[in-house]
This record gives sequence, C-alpha cells and structure tokens, in this order.
Amino acid sequence: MKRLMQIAIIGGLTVLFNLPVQAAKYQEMEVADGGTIQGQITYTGSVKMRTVLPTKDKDVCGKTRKEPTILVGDGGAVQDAVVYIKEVASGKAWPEMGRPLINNIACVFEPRVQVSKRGKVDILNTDPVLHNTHGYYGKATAFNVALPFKDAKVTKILKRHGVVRTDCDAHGWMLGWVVVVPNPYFMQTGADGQYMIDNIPPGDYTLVVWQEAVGEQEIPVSVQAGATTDLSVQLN
Amino acid sequence: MKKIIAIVSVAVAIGGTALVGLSMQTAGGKTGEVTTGRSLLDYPATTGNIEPVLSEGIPVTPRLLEHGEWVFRGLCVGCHGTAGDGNGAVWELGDLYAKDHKLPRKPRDFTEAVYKLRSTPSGSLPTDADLFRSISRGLVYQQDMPAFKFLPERERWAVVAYIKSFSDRWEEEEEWQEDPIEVGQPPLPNAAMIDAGKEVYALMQCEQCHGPTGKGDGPSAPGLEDDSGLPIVPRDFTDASQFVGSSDPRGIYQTFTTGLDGTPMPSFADFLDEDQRWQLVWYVISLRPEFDLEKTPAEVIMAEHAGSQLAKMSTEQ
Repeated sequence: MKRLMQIAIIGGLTVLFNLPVQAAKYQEMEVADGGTIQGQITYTGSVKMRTVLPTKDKDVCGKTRKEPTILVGDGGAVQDAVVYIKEVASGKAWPEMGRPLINNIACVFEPRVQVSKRGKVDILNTDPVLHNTHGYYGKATAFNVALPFKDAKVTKILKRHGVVRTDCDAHGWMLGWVVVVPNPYFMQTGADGQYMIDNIPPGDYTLVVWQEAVGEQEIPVSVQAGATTDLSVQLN
Repeated sequence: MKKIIAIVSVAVAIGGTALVGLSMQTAGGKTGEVTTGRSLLDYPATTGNIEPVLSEGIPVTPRLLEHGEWVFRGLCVGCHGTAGDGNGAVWELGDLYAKDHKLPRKPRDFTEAVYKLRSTPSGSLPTDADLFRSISRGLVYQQDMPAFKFLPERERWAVVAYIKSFSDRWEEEEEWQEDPIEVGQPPLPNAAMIDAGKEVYALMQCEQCHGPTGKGDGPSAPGLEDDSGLPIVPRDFTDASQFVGSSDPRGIYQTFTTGLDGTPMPSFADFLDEDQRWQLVWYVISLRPEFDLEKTPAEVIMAEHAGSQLAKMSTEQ
C-alpha cells in the first residue's frame, strides 16, 4: 500500500507538470497613486571598439572602420541602454508604439537599438544588394529572411519577450538589436543617459538595465505609492 | 515484471482520473479533451513510412509522454542528451568506437526548439508532421541523424510529443503560430522554365552564397556559421547527395521558401510567385551533371527526381 501511495504521488505530479503553462500575460488597468523610478545610466570604464570590416559590396557598405560598442557621452552618460521592469502583472496602458522597422541601409541596421512589444516587425532593404536579416533570441534563430533587392520588405513576428540580436549572414559584420519588453514600463536612454518610468503600481520589482556590450543587469527596487525613487545605475 | 505492469496500470488509471474535465494540448496543437481509455496499442504500428498514417498524430496524454521518454532514452540520448539540449555523449566525446569521428553538426537542441526542416514560415515552430518526417527520414548529409522509420508509427509520435516537452515555446507562441506553406505538385521541366529559373537565381542573389555555378562558392560563403557557432558551407547544388532536406523538387521548394532556421539559409517566401518557385527548383536541379533535358524526356526526369517520400506527400492534407 505504501508503494502504491508513492506511485500515486508520482503519477499525480506527472499530470500536473504536463499541464500547459500559461505565460503570464500583461493586463492593462487603471493605476491609482503609482510611483516613479528615474535615474541615469552611466559607464566609466574604457570603451571597447569593434572593427567593422566589409569584405564585399564595399561600394555600398563602405570602408573598414571602428565603432564603439557602448555610446558614452558627457559624465559617462550611456545612450541606447534599455531600462525596463520585469514581471509587472498589470498596470498602465501601452503607449502608441507603431510597428517597429529594421532598415538595412549602407549595410547598417537602422536603428541599431530599438524597443518593441510582442508582435509584428517590418524589415526593409534600402541597399541595392542582397541582405538577409537573421534575428536570434540568445543563440537561437528567431527568424531569417532574405531581402534580395532594394526596397524588398518583409514582415515577421517577434513572438517572445527578450533581447533579439540581428545580423546578416551575407554581411557578417552587421549588428542590431530589438529589445522585446514584457510590459509598458520601459525606456530607451538618449544621449543624456536619463530614464524615467512612471505610473508603476506600488510594490517590489526587478529593474533590468540592458546595454549591447554589457548585457543585462538586474537591480531590486521598491516602488512606493506616489513617490519617486532615484536609481542611477553605473554599468561595468 | 509484475511490478512494472502495476506501475503502468496505476499511472494510466491515475492519469485518466486526474484528467477528467481537463483541457490539454493534443499533438496536433489543438486543444481538446484527452482521449482516455485508449491503449497505445490501438494506434498504428506501421513502419517504413515517412508520411504519417495519422496526419494529426496521437493525443498527448501523460502515458504518451512517458512512452516517448522511454523511446527517447533508448535511442536519442546518445546524441541529444538526457536534457534534450544536444549535449549527448556522442557530441561531447565523439564516437568512442571511431575516435576520429566527431559529429559534423551539433545535435538539435530541443530546449531551443529551432528546426531546419519545416513546412512553416521562418521563425515558426514546425508542425508535428514535420517533426515526424524528420525523425523518420533522418538528416543525413553533414548531420548524421539516422532515419528512424523502422520504429512503429506510434513510437515516433510518442517521441514527437516528448521532444516538444523540452521547450515552452510550443505554449508561449501558440497565438502567433503561422500556417504551413502548401507545396503543390511540380510541373514537368522544360528548357524555357530552366532559363527563367536562371533569371530567378540571379534576381534572388542565390549566387552570393551558392556561387554563379551553384558550387556553394559565392562571395558570402566564407565565414558562415550556424546557430551553435560552427562553420557551415552553402550547399553545392551540383551534388544531389548534399541536400539537408529532400533533394526532390518539393523538398527544394520548401527549403528556399521557409529557410533552414538555425543556419544562414534565409526564407525567400515573400519574393517569388508559384511559377518562379518551380522555375528556380528546376534550375537548381538542372545544375546536376546527370541532368540532361535533351537526352532524357521530362517525364522520366520527373519520375527520377520525384522519387522521394516528400514528393509523394498528398497536397490534399
């Protein structure tokens, strides 16, 4: 009988584990007396340079050059960092974002960094050469589409949250990023490195700061009703 | 032995009781009541087929998954690993009986659920029937994935269900899942079609990777890598044995239309109409040295090249 009970428990667990896991979906709602997190993203270390080495289509793609892997301005301000809050189940409405566009122009992804929610993304070739825009979640292909001629355009779907890196197998040096955020509590920094995320339901959260060369850093943060929390982050 | 039977029957009984009223995913990706009271032995044990007898698969129950796990542990873990991440002993250590033989490609990582051979658009998960076909046919050239068509069909469906359980993409992406791209029956080749295909080859810039004569030596060929960071070369179209998918007209159509996810081969789905696709298919096949439209009637060429199982797929499904 004892043995039977053990088996019963294991059997029961198997059933539970096999139930479909519903990914938590963000719910929009009215936020009363929400809090704010704001601050500046800075970097003080040495900036690594990346060599862009066009090996073909040089008349379109330009010459060999170096570019910084992190855009640092006055006082160490970091541009194109993306700050977002993880795991907010419900809260303010999504802003009007429009469909994101990844433009292949002069063998550069424009914009290099952008934020999107889950859904469709347009991919455009402005160059008179073959590009293929190959997106990855981590190392795993998210999509890979050919754009064989100028003005070729494809629409794909960013199906999951996370950082999507894009490259081009035809021009191996190309690099771009789309950060697919799980909720509207996000901001991409401008040249001043500042961010502000408002209307947050009070509670304890994890703030994520992503930058392409640094990766993701997570910082625990407590949001009080009606209050502003100052949280500047120095990347290293 | 008695004990095993007891465990199985108890597990089935408990599974059955616990499942009453629960809605679960079936292998066909649709949600419905789980069929209980049906033994796996009631499903076909057909062997040797690549196209499944059960086009919708077998409803996913705990029993099916358990069975899939047993088959997987017996036949698949050597390469794919117990965690399904492709880090099996054969990958990590090489073949112990042939020390110089390392696998040319990393075995599929089921936790990422990125698959080369799909009837679905790039970035989409494959259908269950796609997975069934890959398990059945194997992926031979530079992949070393053997054909498992000797397994009874129900065992192959059990493995399909089990390898899907390694990734939650199947549930997370259900609302975004894109429909398969239908592949019709190829037209008979003729000289005009092949000439037009050459133009499509140029317009699509295939030569950037595959080279002007299809030898796989285009200017973008050097330095290509797959998702695991291993070097990969574009297919040499002059050698029919090199194709990763099927080398027949319908297999080639599927490959350039949906792309081979996990490799540099992108999808060209958005830029070609039906006629252009078949023109490109026959042009690519015409690059094989044995292809000679003047000496061999088109019907014979068609019969020779449409011999594989994928070509026999019904368009009506």
